[in-house]
Amino acid sequence: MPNDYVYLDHAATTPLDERVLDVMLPHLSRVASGNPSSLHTPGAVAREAIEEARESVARLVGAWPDEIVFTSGGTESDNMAVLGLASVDPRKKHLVVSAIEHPAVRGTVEHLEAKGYEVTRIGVDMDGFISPGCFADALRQDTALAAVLWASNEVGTLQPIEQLAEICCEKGVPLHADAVQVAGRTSMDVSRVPISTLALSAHKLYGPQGVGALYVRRGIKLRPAFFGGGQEKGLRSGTENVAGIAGFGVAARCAFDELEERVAHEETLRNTLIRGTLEMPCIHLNGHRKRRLSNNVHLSVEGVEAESLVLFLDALGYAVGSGSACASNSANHKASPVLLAMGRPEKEALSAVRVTVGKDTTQVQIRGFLEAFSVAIAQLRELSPLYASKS
Amino acid sequence: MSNYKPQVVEHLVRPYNVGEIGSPSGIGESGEATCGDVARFTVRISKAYVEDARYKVYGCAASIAAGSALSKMVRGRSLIEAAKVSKLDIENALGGPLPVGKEHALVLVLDALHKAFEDYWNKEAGARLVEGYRGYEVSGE
Repeated sequence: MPNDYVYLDHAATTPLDERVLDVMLPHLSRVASGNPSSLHTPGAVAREAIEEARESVARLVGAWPDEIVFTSGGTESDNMAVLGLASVDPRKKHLVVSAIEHPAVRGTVEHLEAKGYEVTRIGVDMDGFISPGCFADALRQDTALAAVLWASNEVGTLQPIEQLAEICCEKGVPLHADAVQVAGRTSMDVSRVPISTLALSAHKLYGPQGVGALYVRRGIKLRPAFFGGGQEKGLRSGTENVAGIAGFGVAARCAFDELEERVAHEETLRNTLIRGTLEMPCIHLNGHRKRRLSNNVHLSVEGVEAESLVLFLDALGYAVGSGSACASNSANHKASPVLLAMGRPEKEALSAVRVTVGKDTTQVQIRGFLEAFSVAIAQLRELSPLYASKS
Repeated sequence: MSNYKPQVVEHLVRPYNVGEIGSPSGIGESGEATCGDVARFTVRISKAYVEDARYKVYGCAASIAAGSALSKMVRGRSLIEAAKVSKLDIENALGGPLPVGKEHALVLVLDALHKAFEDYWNKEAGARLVEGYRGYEVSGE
C-alpha cells in the first residue's frame, strides 16, 4: 500500500492510535503481565491494567466501572445482551427491534425467532429514524427486551435514544443499545439515560480489534453466554485479553479527553464531503443531513454499482466502504436491508458507498478524494448502459 | 487489496473498447436491470470478421473486467473464432479464476456478445432471403 494511500473507512475500523500501541506492547512482550486471575505479582499487574481500563471505558459512557464487562468485540456484546436479556424470564417471549439493526443484533434476534420468540420490527422513515410512537406501541407486557442501534453503522443516523430509553423505562422493558459507532463520536451518559445494556467496540475508536465491552446497568439481570472460570463477574468466563483491554482503556480515555475536538474536526470534513459530492450530478445523501454521525457520509451514486466504485477508488488510492455486495454465486446483488427499510429503491441501494473520516483525516485528503471520486464516477458512468440510457 | 487478481483491477480502471458502435451489425444485451448486472455489446461484422466490438456494463468489477477482456479478445477475429471464446479463455485473460461467487460475470458478458452475434445473423439471414447468397461462397469449396 503506497504511503499516500488515504483511508476513509473509519466506520469499518480505525487505525490503532500510537498511544494505545505503547500501552499494549509491554503486555505482549516477554515481560508480559500474567493471568489476571493469578495471585502473584505478574497477575496483579494484569489485573491492575484491566481495572484501569475498566475505569476509562466506564467514564467514556458515564457508567460505574463495575457496570463494564469486557468482551471480544461489539458482536459478542450484542449477542451477550440480546441472548442474556431474552432468557431471564421464560414467560417473556417477545422482542422489539428496529428494522435497521446491525447484523450482530439482527442475526441474534433471527436465531431467537427460530426458537419460538415473536419479533416486532419497527420500521424507519426515509432518513432512518424510528418513530417513538410506533416504538412505544410495540412494547408489551411479555416483551423481554427492545434493541436499538444508537447510530446506524451504514447511514449514520442518530436515533432519539434518550426518548426511546425513557419509553422502555416507563414500560419496564430493558433496552439494549448498540453504541459501537457512536462511542467517541458523541457525548454519552448512561447515568442520565435509562439504557439497560450498551455494546461497545475498541477498534472503532482507535483501539485494537478483538476487544469490546458490554455496559450492564446495576440491577439488570443478564444470563451469561459463556461458562467457565467466572471472569467478568461470571458473565464472560475466559482469561481476559489483557493487552487488548489495556489498549481499549487508553483508546477510551483519549476519546473522552478529545471528544469535542474530534467531533468538530470530523464534522468539518464531513460537511466538506457532503457539499462536494452533492455538487456532482445524480448523487443522493442517505440519512439525515445533520442528525448523523460526525464522520459519516453515505451516498447513492446513480448508474454506478458500489463494488466497482469502491475498487476503482481503491486503485486511485482511497479506501471507502461499500453499502451493498454481490450475493455469492448469483448474478443478483444484495442490496443493503437498511436502505431498503428506509424506502430506497433497490437500484439506489445497490449503488451506495460509505465514506467515513477520522480524527487524522485532513482537508487536503478530502479535496483529493473529491477529485478522485469525480473521475471514478465519470468513468464508471461512461461504462454503464443504465446511466447512458437514462441521460 | 481486493480478492481480485491485479488484471481485473487493471481492466476496471483502464477498460478496453468501452462504448457503443453507431449503426452496428448486431446488438446484444444480457442481465437484469432491476436487480443485477447488465451488459450490452455492439458489434460491427464485415466479411464474417469482427471488425469492432464495443461494450457497456453496469455491475461489479468482475463484470466490467470480463467485458473489457472479452471485447479485446474478439476484435479482429473471425466470427466463428470469436463465438468460440469461452469462460475459461476470459478467466485466463484476467489472470486466473475469478473469486467464488463472481463467475456470473463471465456468463453475463458472453451472453451479451452471443446475442449481438445472433442479432447480426438474424439480420443477415433476412437480407440473404431478399438478396440471395451471391458473393457468400467460401473460396476453395
